[in-house]
Amino acid sequence: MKDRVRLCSRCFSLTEEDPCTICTDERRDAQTICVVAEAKDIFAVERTSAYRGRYHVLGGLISPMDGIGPAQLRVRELLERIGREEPREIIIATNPNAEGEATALYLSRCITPSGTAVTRLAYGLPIGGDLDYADEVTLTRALEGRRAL
Amino acid sequence: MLLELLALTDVRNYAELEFTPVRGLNLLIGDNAQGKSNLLEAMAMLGTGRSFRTTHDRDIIRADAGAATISGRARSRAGTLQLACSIARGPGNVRKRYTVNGGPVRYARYLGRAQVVTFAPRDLDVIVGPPSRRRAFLNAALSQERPAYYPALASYTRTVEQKRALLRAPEPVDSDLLAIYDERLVRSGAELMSGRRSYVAVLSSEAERAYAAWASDGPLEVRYAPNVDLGPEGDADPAEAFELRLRAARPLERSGRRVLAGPHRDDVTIRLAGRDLSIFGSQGQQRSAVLALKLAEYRVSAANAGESPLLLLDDVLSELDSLRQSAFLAGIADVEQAFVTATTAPPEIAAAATYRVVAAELNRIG
Ligand SMILES: [Zn+2]
Repeated sequence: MKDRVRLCSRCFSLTEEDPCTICTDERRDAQTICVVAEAKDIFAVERTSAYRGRYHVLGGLISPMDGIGPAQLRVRELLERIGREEPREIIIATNPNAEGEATALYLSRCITPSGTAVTRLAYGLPIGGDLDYADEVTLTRALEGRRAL
Repeated sequence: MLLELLALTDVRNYAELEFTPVRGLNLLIGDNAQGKSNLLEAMAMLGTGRSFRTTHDRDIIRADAGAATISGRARSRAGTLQLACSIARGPGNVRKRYTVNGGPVRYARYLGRAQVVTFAPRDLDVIVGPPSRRRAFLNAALSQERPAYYPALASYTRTVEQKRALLRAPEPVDSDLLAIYDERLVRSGAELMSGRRSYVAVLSSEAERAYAAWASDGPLEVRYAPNVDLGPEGDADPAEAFELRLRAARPLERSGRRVLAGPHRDDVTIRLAGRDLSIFGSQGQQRSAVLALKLAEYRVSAANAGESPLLLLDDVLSELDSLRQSAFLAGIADVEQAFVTATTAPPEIAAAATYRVVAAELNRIG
């Protein structure tokens, strides 16, 4: 089964081994989970080397126009994971566009009752900016300046 | 604002053009379909990134070319600006790119660098057309005036579409998500409402004065007519009022599956001597009113920016009688630079330079 790319059963990023190397890396902080829309967003955050926690890939953003509601995303899996792993902080790193902001607010509403802190990247990016486009410096600053939701 | 250089590559019927206009009134004379309006459209795009003639950016790329590029050098109070806007054919939609002084910027950061006021025949729709034309007029002006306006408009418009889709989806409506959309609408919608309210207030007094200068059948009254009731004096806090309105409208929005409340349904009422101009006005009165509105837009822009915007008059001056022509020209006497197109030279105009446009060639003739 080697060389077959599949989804990590914990964080849903793309991986060849399950769980992925980020999920199994003991040096990484298991108390912090960074929630991203797509697996490719992990690479953008990893490029900064400023983040040492783990990830959760939603598989998209809430967009009723495209027929995508919370049920079509891995929201339930995130909530189950929070119940199981009891992390200290969830960082929501969705893009600062209309869909990214609405998704962040929605997740915050779902997670807050669990008592886990929810934060959002403090984007120095212009509105409508993408994680993809952000340079390392901007993204590092966004990570460091994250704010409570 | 002074446009010192305009360079076009594959824009409409222009393969390649370099134009160095002069200060003051630049008059462009030519028959139809020779390229004079295309030149004005390109200048408007350089300032606003948008065409005033089409919503299909694809139309701006010259036939058989892959991309259109409009660039220019302008001098403003802020110094010399190097602007460029390019449109490239893509697999689906076109790709647009903007640069300021050589560096790429997003549209929201490009807007408003070089302010432009355009006046074209279709602007009569602001008076006689549907409310969407009046909202488009406000949006275009305010996007240049207020840096926070365009991002709020983009966010608001998109959120309305998402909310509409949520209400119309076959599955039961997620109340949490609906509440989040409403919260987001209040935030961006309040910026739209306060922007429109204050803009129309200054615009109306300028327009009233302009109209009174050449006609005695006024007064011309221009009033913001928000969908969300802002109180008898119109001075209520937009966010609070919008929140209340959304709460009241929610049952009807859910049962009717429609987005009923908010500034996407705003209008502007335009009255002459107390009567709705779009219904009761004669064609002459309607033309005079749009002229007054455009003059007001110019004056408000000049006052806010502390310098006159680039003024683009596409085929409108020659249609006015000499009284209105002189009144309009007197109103823009302080303009730093304007571009006027016509098939024949309007009699009242004292141009600083006159050009003849034939088959995408520009020749100075006076
Ligand atoms: Zn994993």
